[in-house]
Amino acid sequence: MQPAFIVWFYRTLFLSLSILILITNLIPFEVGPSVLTYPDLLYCLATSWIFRRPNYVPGAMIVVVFLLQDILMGLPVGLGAALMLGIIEYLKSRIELIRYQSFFIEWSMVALCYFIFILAYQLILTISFSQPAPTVTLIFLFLETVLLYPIIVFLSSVVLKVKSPEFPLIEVIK
Amino acid sequence: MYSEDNNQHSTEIYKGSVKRLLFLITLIALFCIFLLWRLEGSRVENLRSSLVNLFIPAIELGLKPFHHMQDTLEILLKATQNQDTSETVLQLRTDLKQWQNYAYNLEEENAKLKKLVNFSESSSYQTISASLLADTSSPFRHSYLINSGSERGVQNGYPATDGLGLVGRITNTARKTARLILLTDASSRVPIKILPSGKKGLVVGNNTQNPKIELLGNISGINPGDRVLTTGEGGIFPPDLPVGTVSEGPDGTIELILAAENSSLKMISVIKYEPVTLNEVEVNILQSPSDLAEEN
Repeated sequence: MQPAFIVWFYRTLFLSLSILILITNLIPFEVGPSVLTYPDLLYCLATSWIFRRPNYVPGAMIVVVFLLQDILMGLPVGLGAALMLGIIEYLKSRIELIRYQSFFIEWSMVALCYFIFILAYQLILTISFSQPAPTVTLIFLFLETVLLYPIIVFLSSVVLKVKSPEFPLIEVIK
Repeated sequence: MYSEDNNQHSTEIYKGSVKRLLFLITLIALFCIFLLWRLEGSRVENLRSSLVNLFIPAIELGLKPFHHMQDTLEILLKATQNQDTSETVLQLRTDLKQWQNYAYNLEEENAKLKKLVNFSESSSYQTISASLLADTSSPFRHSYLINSGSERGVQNGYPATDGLGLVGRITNTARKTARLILLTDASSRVPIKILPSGKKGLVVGNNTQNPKIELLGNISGINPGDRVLTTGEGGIFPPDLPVGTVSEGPDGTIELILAAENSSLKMISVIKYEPVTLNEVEVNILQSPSDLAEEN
């Protein structure tokens, strides 16, 4: 077991990083719509931490962060948060299958889930008579996010030391 | 020993089911919020605006270093370009002198003509200037956050320009901020006319950089580069605001190239233009020629 203060330290770190990401998304740097968009950094951060240390990212924090994103970015309120919560809780329940396997399995899992997220989002927007996003932009969003994932994993495990616990040999023997 | 283990096991199961229940409740609650947003948009949007207002100090603080970086970058860029500008400045000055004379002549002529037709200056509107606070654009929504709100007289429905052309429309006004929905957003529809042919149509946003132009008639007589202006029909936008120019889209469609420079937008002016009320619009619709034709 880790000491509680370390867990809480990482929880606050996750929250502050998420808010930083939200604010950087708001910078009018390359102002204006274009085919290229910001990759979904928040999704990469959340999933990469979930696979390594699920106790650093409680579901409540996922709800808060993604609801905040919906609110700040003028998106349909609650939709993004609901879908993300569902996907992340699903991934949490699959951790044992993915941990200690090759990175490629984790990566394809993350990509598949993001694909489902975009598809569900578009579908719900369409059936609720809201305006869906152009497909080309979504393809770019998907590719950018999937390509970004290994970089985020590298940074969070090497720089921030968010790593999976050692292989639990003792528990296996017991 | 056994019973203790069993106890622990059952509390684990208990904890697990409570967690699952909480998860389901949250999920349903979030979907309900989404449904509420979809059905009762204005109320949720008001809530959103007030929440965004709470975050403004944080956003401004967070954006400060980035704005600073942007400014220094621009200064550096300008400094490198300064070296060979003195000659071009001189040349431009002589060019401008010529244009100035031309403008004086036109102004005189314009004044004379206005007198002739008893023109009254009713088409000029008051404006509120605002600067861009944040770019809240995503593939799903094209919008900006501006730093003027109801405190300075901004209201929902006011159009906004950047001096060169129409940028969009104000949707959510809070006390100190407002959200500006761009022409490129998929929910945006602007009645326009194309000059010199005078054809009418709609500029329809589709979440891409160049909105579509849907014409009421056929495409003949329209060339790439033709000017696009608002008509003022429907009462949402004032007439004769520049919007952009026509360009050729894929497979025979036509697109709009915005006159507003969205990529280097910093300041915008919000036009105090009260949208015509619904009743007046309804009267207009009732009296439209197609309806009359149907009645006959």
